[in-house]
Amino acid sequence: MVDPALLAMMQSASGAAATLEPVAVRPGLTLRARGAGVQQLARALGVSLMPETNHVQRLADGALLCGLRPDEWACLGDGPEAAGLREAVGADGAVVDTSASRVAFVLAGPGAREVLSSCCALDVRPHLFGVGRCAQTLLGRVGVFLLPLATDRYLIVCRPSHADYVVRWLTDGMQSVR
Amino acid sequence: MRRLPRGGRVDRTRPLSFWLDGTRYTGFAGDTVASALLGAGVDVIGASVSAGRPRGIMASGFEEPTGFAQVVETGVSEPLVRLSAVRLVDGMRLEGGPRIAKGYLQDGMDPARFDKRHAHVDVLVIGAGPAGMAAAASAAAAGVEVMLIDAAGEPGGALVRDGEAAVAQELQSALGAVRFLPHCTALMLLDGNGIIAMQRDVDAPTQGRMWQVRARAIVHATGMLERPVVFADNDRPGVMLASAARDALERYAVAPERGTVFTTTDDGYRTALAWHAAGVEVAAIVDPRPPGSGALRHRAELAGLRIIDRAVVEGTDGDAQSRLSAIRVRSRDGRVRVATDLLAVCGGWEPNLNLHLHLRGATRYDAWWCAAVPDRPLPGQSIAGGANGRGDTASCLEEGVRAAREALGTCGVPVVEVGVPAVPAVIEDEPAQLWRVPAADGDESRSFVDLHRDATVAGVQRAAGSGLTHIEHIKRYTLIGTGIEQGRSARVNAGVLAAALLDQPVAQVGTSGSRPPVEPVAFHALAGRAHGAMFEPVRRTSLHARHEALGATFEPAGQWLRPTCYPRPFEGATAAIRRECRAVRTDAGIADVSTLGKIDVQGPDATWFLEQLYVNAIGTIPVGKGRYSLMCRMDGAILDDGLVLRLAEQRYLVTTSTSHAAAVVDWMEEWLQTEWPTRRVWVTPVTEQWATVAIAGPNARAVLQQVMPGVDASREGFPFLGVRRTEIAGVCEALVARVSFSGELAFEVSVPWDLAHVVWDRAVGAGATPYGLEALQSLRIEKGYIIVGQDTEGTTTPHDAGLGWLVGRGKACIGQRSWQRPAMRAADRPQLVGIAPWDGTEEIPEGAALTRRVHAPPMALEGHVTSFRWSETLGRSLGLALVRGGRARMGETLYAPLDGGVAAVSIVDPVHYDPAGARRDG
Repeated sequence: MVDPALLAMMQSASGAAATLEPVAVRPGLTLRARGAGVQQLARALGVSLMPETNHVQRLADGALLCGLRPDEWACLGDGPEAAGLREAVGADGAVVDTSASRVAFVLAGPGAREVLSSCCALDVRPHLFGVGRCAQTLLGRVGVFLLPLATDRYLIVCRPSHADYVVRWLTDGMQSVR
Repeated sequence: MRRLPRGGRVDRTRPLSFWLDGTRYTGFAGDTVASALLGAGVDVIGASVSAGRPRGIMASGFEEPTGFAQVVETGVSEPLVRLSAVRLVDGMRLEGGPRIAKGYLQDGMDPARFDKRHAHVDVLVIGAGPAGMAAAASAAAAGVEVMLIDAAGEPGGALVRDGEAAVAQELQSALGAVRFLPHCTALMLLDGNGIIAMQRDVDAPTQGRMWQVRARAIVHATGMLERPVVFADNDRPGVMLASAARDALERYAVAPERGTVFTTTDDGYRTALAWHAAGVEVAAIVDPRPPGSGALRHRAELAGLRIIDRAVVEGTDGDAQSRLSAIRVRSRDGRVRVATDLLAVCGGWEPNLNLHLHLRGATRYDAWWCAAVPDRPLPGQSIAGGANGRGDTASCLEEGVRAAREALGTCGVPVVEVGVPAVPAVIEDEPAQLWRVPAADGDESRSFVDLHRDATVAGVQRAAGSGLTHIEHIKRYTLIGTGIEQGRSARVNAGVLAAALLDQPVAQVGTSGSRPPVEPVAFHALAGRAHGAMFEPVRRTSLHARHEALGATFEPAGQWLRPTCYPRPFEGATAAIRRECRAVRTDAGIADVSTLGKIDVQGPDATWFLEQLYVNAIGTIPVGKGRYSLMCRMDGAILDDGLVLRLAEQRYLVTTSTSHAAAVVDWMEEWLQTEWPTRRVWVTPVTEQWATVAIAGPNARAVLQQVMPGVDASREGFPFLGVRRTEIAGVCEALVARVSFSGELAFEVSVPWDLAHVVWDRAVGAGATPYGLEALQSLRIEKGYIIVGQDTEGTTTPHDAGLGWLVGRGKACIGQRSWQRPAMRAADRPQLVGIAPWDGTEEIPEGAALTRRVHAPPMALEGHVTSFRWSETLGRSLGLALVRGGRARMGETLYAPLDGGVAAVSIVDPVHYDPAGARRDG
């Protein structure tokens, strides 16, 4: 559910060099685990190992499992039920539904990297930040979660209340990259 | 000077008009503003800053001390623009006069457009002269990502100026995959192998791009800077650096009628030879050295140019406008006067190490150059060519290849050999150790060291005579090097002069430092796009559109925008606020409190953890209940307040005040990560997972029944501080807590962020009146409820705030030990009290001082007003205050001196309304 004014900004800024559009990343779970909980969580998610920090693994049913820090992951998109994970991790972790606290956008196109470079200091060159990587970084002055979905195609996740600011910076950058 | 009929790199088919101080001139496309002025015969741009002496163009690079003006475009006015850095645009307007050293900012909206780029490369080469191009091409050949930046519009550096354009062409064609940024000046070197650089749009001084580049290896190929010689009346327009005179000729076909050269190195001969080749009369070459065997001198002799050996220029004569008309030369044969309209001066060359010095890169004194050369580069960096004290083209190329090799080593990439153009070495004689010629009449007040600052030899002599012995002190006394170009053409001369006066070696005195930025940066360039809506994030709750539809006015609360009040058509703000207050006290109101911080805390050690953080007992909170509490810093002062809601045996939802949401999460994480890493506690911020509305008022129960019929809201079924995890049937899960920030019966309903409108619409449909931040403030002040950070200061303890009753007995928590210190228990600490003005209509601004006496000093400060509002419920204004020893002073009168008079207030209990708390059950 994106504000129509923001949608209009995204549409008018989108062009051959880069496009920006909202995308749903629901549901979203914040997963925490340490010790034995990590393995229990991995088993419940159907992966052999939980991804390392700043790495992403795609689950069988499509969800993105993203390593945020050594004991924290985000599971974005359709995936296992929270209740089952909660039971699996038990006292060695936590599973919190954070579905409503994120909005996401896809920035794509041959100019996407340059658009990002107008507002984000992260080195996103493909050999360092390709598919399978992710990062929590700053876009302008607000924290965002960034991951490449494919070459020249980035998922940008932020808080709902920062969406306006994030879209303004991205569309402004897009206008200088045309 | 004048424009020659042929030559240069300007497009003579495209004449462009421009104005200097109202007079119209013509230049050509391809001119800089500086070359256009010189070509139009304009030697004088303005006047110097304090002496008011005429000033013109002196240099062609960033060592330029005088060639500045205010550039006025349509609607844009940019101060202190270096004219050699800006391309001429048709219709450009310049203001000279005093503007060469003092610009002004225009009023009103700034239409400038600067943006930013972050770049990451393997090798960054700064400077695209022969060394830089050789380094970039060699590195790129090995397959790494190379960025090459240069202040000029094309690669080449000094090659074009020095008649080696063919070499430049050849090097340029080898650049291949190198990414070249033209018109881009490196401003500052950063830790971690980074730079900040400014890329200007040469056609528009108020547009550009700021680059932040990170590289695995950096190559400094920043070349050398030419310095002048100090002599009497050396500041006349018409005295120019020899390199700038050569630039003017080779690039723009601008030359004098009759040129002269004063040089302490062989390089100055290049200017004379270039003039001669272009058919310009060379009146004399003045060289302090005895005749040598240098190749350039030999060529000058063959050309039949007049060389005056073992001679110096000791003064100049001027015409009616004080422009150069003749030089006075002293040699062993006596004194001669040579008529000339341009004196090209070369006082020697020195490595341009400004960036290297930003991070205190090591240098040493080099006697050949009479200047500092790099001792060793910084880690991950190389210095090549002129910047490394290797000035000739052949050495530069060799140095560039060497630097590329080093850079590739840093990157761990094997070297690929590439060829560079073969350039014959030029034999040069040793430069003369000459920086200054004493004035013939002994008056050194016209011998300028720093032309930007009007600092003279006499000034340095005064500084030394006053007992200043350090070059940085002399800099501040004389102002040498304090101009916007940091005295690039003055620093070494000042250091050498000081060394002579102090009778110390030149190497020991040194020069004043170099600091970022290398060139001035306008504030709008620093700001970039971060202005207006892109300056600071403005956060809106998911109910924002609902508030707007109701006609709400908004105010910032931190980054959030929150409704102030909801005026109806034809209703003023004051009336609206009063109506909203009445609604809450007599019926039911609804407020958006989504901005409150919310944190999910769970795990087997969650209870233990919260016991450490909060001042009261947490373990005794039953599941399904909540408790109001405070957390303190280690010094015992209140950090934040909020509710601790126990959702399950090992799971809590805690709330924070709006402005402390992020700080409290950080506080929790800091303790968990640094002190208690083995504790099994999981902290998750969920502020924007849950939107929250407060339904408050005697009829709140009825409203809640309409919102969520399934919930038992009865007095027995839903006691005060109860928490229910429930759902809005068919819509979403919900969390309801019976807590109150107004003293009325109230429920706070939380639902997933984007579904808040369901609760809002149902509650408003059930008759609840939306109330904003102003009503909320008034209602909570009536009850004496604090806002941390408004009614508390950085030293306020729970006891000071009248909340000592919250503190759990015999319980340890962060901050507790500090309360035991005597000063924390002193009777005269500022304590929270209520204040009631004698005149109940008085409006006292928050922050107003409170004193015991007025109009009779000393008016000792007894405290200050922290919150103040009109109380609609009590029909009078009232407030809260922090007053020294306030709780023991009930009934006492204090005075608030205001702009319009003095307001008398009584100290009262902070709970102004319903002290028994009878209303919270409805």
